[in-house]
Amino acid sequence: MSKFSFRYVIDALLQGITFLFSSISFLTLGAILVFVFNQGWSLVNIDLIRYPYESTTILGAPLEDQNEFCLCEPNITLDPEVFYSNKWGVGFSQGQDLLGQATVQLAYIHPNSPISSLTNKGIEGNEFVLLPEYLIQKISYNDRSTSLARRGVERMINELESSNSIYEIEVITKGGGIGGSIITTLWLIGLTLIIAIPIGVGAALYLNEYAKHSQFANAIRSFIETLTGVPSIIFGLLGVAIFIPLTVATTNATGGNLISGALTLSVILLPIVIRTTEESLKVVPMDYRNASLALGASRTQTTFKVVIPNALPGILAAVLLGIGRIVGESAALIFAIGSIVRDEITLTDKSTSLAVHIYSMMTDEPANIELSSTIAIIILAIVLVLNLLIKFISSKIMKGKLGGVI
Amino acid sequence: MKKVFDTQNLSLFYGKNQALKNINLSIFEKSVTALIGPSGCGKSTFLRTLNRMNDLIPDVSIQGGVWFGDISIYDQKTDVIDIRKRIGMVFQKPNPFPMSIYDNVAYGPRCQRNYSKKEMDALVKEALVKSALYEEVKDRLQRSALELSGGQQQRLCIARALAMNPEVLLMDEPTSALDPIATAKIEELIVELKKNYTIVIVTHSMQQAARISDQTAFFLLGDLIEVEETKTFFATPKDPRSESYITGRFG
Amino acid sequence: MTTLIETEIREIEKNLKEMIDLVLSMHRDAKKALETNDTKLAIQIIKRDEQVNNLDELINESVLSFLATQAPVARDLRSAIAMIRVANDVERIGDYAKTISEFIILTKPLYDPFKLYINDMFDDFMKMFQMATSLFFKPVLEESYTIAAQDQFIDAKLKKAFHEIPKVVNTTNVMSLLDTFNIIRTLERAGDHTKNICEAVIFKLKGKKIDLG
Repeated sequence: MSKFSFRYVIDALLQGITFLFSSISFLTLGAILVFVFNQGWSLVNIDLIRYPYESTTILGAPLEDQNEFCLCEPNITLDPEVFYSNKWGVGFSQGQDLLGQATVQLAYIHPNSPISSLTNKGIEGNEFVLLPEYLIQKISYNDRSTSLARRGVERMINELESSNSIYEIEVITKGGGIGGSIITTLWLIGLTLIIAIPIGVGAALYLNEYAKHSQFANAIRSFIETLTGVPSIIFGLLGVAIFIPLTVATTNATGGNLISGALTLSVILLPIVIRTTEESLKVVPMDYRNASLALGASRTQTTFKVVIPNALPGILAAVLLGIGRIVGESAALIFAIGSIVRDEITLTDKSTSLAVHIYSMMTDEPANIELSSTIAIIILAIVLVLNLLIKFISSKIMKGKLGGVI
Repeated sequence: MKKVFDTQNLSLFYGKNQALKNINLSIFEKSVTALIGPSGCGKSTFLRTLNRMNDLIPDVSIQGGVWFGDISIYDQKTDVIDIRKRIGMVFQKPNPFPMSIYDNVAYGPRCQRNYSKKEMDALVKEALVKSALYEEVKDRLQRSALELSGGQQQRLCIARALAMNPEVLLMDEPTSALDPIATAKIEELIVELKKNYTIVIVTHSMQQAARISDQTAFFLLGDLIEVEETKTFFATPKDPRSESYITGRFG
Repeated sequence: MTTLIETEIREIEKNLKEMIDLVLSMHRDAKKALETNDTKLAIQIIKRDEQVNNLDELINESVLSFLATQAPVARDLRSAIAMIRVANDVERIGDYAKTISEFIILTKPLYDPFKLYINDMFDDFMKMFQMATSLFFKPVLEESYTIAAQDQFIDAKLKKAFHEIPKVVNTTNVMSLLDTFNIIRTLERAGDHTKNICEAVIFKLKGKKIDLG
């Protein structure tokens, strides 16, 4: 009788332990998410994309055809410390520039304001939009003396209200935008997948369909398996040693660049893609291949009409894994692309991916945990969206192939 | 009767292991030849030599000749794909592709050339009619083949093979995974099909071989022991080993 | 290990052997009863015929279910069919012993000079019957021909007796002659049926029906 219940006790104990372990895992992951959201949620807003990373000083002139005054009331409730000009439809408040000195900040701008868009008097000469949180350093008029920000917000608003013609405005744009990094990340995802997936799937096809049992194939296979364990920073070194000189020599790049970054990531990704694809190819029953060949199809037709469609779930899993890896890869990219945050992204220039951007933020003085967490949230969002997108596409394809059955 | 297949001293090796020993067997036109024998006797291996499906197995070597009409199948210059177009195969476990019923039947022809929708519709219908499946599936051709029962799936595989308009149907234990009613349907189908096709069927069931075949070949450990008109074979077999096998005196 | 088929065949063979032994004993006793005019024995013989018929029925049923359930082929199939034929012939032969017994019970007088023929024919027949039935269970092709050939002795004796008839017939003995000749004829038929058993042996071996004359 005691042996009987002893075994039950052991069973219950084991069940309890496994429950405990899974709870630990769940809670740990949950804690990470909570931390990230807690730190970074406050900074999540569209400004992150609108603003460039660097803040720059621009001299802006009113547009040629903007002559009508706004004469409008603000369409949101303004904070008490905001000073508003009906004529021009702008609200100013107290601000601080990068050196900590008092200056004027644009708190609100009405959509109909004649100065909502200005012409850049600098080299580019293009239009730019005045956005809230930009700093207004000085406003020069045609019909009175210049307003200076250091003279105070209220004075500037009054002087503005009293003028009817603006000559130019000196604006300091707000920085901290991560648009550049987002673009870099997306480019990296695209380029890397375009390089790594075809090569990886092709290699897996060779290993599994054409050369399954040869010595050569077995050697390659073990080699690739070993590669999956290689730390990615080593591939970063590879990037510096081979891909950067390669791209420098063949394009007008001068150092780390997007292309070398994509190439490095491809190399990191290849073993994973090959392994995952091979596994999913193996799972396709031999029966299907036999049936196809017995019907007089060629090897190629069999591969493309039967094997690959059936291995698609696995291949897409490889794609998803790849995306996760690309977005999260930081160490190797620091070498291969660089860690300088940029707004203008070209293929042949240094830039950062979102992960490296986090690295950049965290190695600044002081470490910017809030912004890093915000970027983390954005990374998670991108990965989530891409996952859902791919799952959706794959289920559409499956529906097509299976004729109504998933 | 015209010979469709003729093997001459056919031997097959898996590496060093000889699976077929000097087989001389003729298959005749528009008849059913049954290949019987205990497990591992070489009957399935022999079947696969007829459409070169053994090529898929590594380390296989062939000696002797297999003639399909006046073509030597194992000749270097022979087009394997062409052979397989003329010889259809149905496997032991029904293996329809995970596609619609229509696409399954259309698969083979589509690999060869493009068809207009009208042409393909007619082709698919004909194949399904010939394999006695059309009436049961005509309203759901676009649904997945995997929804069909085992017996229906096997008839679909037959239809798929027939869509290529072959001269020969090779069947490797086609009913061993099916229930008795499905089995009976397929046996009826085979008897009907032999009016137009040459059929070679490997079977574990001696009753099946006795019921539906015209000629029976008995294999044992890679040797062809006896080949004979079926009714004579089962009434008065000549070789004592044949008799021992069919009367169940040994495995 | 014996297969199911072998077990069933053995069972049917056992019944067939029992039937054969019965019929053989019926004829032995018939011969004796004829000599001693033993009516009691004759009644016993007739009773035994019932058993023979039952066994015949049983064998037929057994073979039918054997064919249906075991779907035998080759030698098992041929054996089964042959056994039905043999049972049929043995049952007839048993009937003949019954006929002879009925004669004894009706106390018909034997025509004495033919007694010799009858006894010889009994001996010839029983020997042939024993050999043929043994052969059936251990069949050898050539022997079925040699044993079948023994029937000619029985036939010869019948012919001889037949030819005697015109020499000895008269109005007083004509009925007993007829009756006695009937017994001779019955024994000759028994020999024919025994020849059929040899034909069944050939069928069992070869699957062919050969007419042995």
